[in-house]
Amino acid sequence: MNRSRRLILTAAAVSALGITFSFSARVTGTARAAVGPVPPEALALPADSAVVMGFDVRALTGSQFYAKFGGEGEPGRVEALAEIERKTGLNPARDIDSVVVAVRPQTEDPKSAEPALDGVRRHRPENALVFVTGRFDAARLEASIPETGKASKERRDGVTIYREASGKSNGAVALLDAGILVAGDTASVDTFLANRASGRGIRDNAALVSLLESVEPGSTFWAVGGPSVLSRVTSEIGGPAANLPAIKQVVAYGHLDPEVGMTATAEAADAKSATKIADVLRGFSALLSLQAGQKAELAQIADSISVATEDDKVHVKATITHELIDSLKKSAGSHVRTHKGVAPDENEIQ
Amino acid sequence: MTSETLSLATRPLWPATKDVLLISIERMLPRPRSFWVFLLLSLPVAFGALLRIYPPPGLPLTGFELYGMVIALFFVRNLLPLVALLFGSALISDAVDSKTLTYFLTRPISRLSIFLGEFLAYLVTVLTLTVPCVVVTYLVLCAATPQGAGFGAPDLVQDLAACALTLFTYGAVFALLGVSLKRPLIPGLLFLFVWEGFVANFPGDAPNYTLTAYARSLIRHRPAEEGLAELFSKFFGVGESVLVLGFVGVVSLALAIWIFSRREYVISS
Amino acid sequence: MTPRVVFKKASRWYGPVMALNDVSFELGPGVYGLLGPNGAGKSSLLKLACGQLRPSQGTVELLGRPAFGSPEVFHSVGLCSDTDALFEDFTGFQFVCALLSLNGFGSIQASRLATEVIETVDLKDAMHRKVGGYSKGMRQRIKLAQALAHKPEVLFLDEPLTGMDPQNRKRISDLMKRLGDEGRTVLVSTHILHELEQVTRRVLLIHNGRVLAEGDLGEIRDLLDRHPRSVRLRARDPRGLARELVLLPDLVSLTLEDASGHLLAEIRKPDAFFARVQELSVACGVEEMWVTDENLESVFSYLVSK
Repeated sequence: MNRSRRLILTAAAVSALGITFSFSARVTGTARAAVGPVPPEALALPADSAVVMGFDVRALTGSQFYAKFGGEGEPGRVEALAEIERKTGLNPARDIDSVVVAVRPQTEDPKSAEPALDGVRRHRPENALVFVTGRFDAARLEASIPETGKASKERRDGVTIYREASGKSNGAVALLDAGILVAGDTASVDTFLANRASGRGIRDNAALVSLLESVEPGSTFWAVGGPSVLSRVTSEIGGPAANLPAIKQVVAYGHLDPEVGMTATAEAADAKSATKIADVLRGFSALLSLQAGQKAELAQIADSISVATEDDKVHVKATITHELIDSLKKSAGSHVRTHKGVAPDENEIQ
Repeated sequence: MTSETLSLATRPLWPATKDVLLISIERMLPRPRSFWVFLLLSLPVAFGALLRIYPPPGLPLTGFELYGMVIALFFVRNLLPLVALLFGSALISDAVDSKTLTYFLTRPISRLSIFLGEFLAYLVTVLTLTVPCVVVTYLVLCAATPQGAGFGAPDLVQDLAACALTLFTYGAVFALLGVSLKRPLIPGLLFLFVWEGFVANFPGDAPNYTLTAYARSLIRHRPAEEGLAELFSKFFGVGESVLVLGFVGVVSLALAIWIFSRREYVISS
Repeated sequence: MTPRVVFKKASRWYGPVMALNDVSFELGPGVYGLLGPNGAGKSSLLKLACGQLRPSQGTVELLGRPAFGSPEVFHSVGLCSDTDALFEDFTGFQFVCALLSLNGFGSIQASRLATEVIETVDLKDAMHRKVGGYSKGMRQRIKLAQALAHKPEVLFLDEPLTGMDPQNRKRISDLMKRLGDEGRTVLVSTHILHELEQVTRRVLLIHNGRVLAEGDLGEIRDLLDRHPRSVRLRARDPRGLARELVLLPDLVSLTLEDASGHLLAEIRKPDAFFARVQELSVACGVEEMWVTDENLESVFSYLVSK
């Protein structure tokens, strides 16, 4: 019995070593280990991404939160999802595991480098690249994408890429395999595929990596952003936010059970700016408390938000119980009903 | 222990199965047939090593994609069913041909133990030959590439499970063929190359009745189909595939055991 | 004592061919010979006895249970089949140990029993060699060893002495006799009469699937003695030898072949004839003598015609 035993042990040792080596490379390897909440497969996301955010769909659909509030959908949304499933075989709640979205910053569009007639330079709009993992019926999904004249199909490097061919936009979808799908503008999708082949990607952006690694492991949703997008966000929102000092970077993450919790840390230019941001947020919280007379839930929300500063950082924490969300939904429902109740009178006036 | 101290009862199923397994592995694994099959299974390793040493200019596929092609097309679709045919159909017929079945049939063990022991020996043998080849193929094609060996590590484990299930199901089907027919090899080859080879790519529901359609659905990172195959290939969910393959395997095994338990084996010099 | 092997009107067909026809007998402790020419049905009878075949009609019981489909009886039954099949890549020791493990013996006990039985069949020196390299006689002995190793109450031995040298024939014959004396049931199948005479007097004569005679070997021997046997002799003085031999009472016919100078005698009671030839061998210059029809086939044909 010795010969077969030796052969089995040798085979087992080779296999175990190989598998261990692969997983070690995954965990410790610098090239392909996960970065914070970004899975290894998504590390080819563009290095110039300004904001990266993600959602653990599996954790969401398995949560008490989803059980309480997720089933109630507006009829239009439910029908849309049913339509997606009919066409693609994809039931998002069932088949999608996680979604990561990378937003690349606005840059000047090289094709419209010349100022337009209004004298304003054209900016390339922010490009969101969506990376989805799950279980896709590849054949059905592929069959659902091309419609004559609207999309072109291309096979490259073992990946099937569908590009918008109508000229209205430059969207593209790449089906990497039966478990990974990437969608976005053509340039970003191409960047992703090029990075994937070359091993480049998000790891090349040390600042972003540092932000991603500060996301709490196991968060259901998370987002990190660098200065390039955030400075524009504050200026373009307008209103009181326009007066906020510039935010250099922000990390936010949260969970849904047993209550909805979110933690955000924003880094301002200096401690003074951080205090100013904190004051604005506290003011916002105080405003909510003042409106408690009209709606009691607002006071609870205000109470659930805590704002603190630490040098140039502002920490915001919010915890909202499922009961509070439920009662907010109910009061919003009664508000809608009140409006509907008014409608006949309006008709009468007409 | 002498015969006087032994109770006159058939030995319990699992200890007897284990003893048959130990004997059968020794008679199955270190054999010329295993050696040739191992060489065949090692071909992708040699192929991968050649690609790494002499990379063709402008190769459009990454190492992981090449590995995906090898596992889906070479292993799961073609070679593993063939390996299952070679070993599975010979489970009992080899013992009949070598006239050694008598040694098992004249022991205080049930025929169920004999069959299960032989089938487990088949599984151990084919997995011993297959698993290192798949793992080394993966390493040769994926390690030291930009994506790295860690990139597809979870896929590697899933692929190994898919290989095991493929070998189990095809092995059970061919074991059934082996106990039912005197010469199971030709019908087995016809099943593999005619039924599984063509029907799996028929349009409509025909692929539902092939094993290969479910087996290849287990490989999540399989390459996209090309040409006509793209139009006709049918894929199933992983859960559905596991259920169907498992069900077919278990039913085939049960039928094979039923036939083996009732059949007379006339072994003469 | 309850019989250990019982055939009750057992018949067995292979399609239209009848291998065994309405066979009934019972075996208790002791050694029994199963005697018959090739194709008589000996192997079919043994296969029925050890549950490898179902009887087409009648019943076959082994240790009080139906022989077919009762694997539990093999705790106490051993079979040395006539097929030259072994686990070729195993050593003799591994082969016996492996089969003992199937009987439920742990590795230590199996090792001890295997060593013991291998010594019994005189294969100790070769026990760690692969059986694939064994000579015909050694293969036969290791087959016998695996049948004996678990000390069964009932032993079926199909042509056990085939290929053995005289020394080992004697050793194995003595062993069979000893096993019978210990109270085990040993059924030895053979087509060579004198092999059987050394171990038992109890014989089952089988021919064309029927048991022709069952009983003491002496009675069978008497039957056989009544069957005229052809003996060819070569002598310096064939005529003188012929003159002496015609005086023998059991001579049926005597022919002098002029061309070859051989004498062809047809005799009964060959023992008396051979003794007389021995006495005349010097005087008549007997150079060679051989029995031309001493195969069992002719003997059984004779018995059937009776």
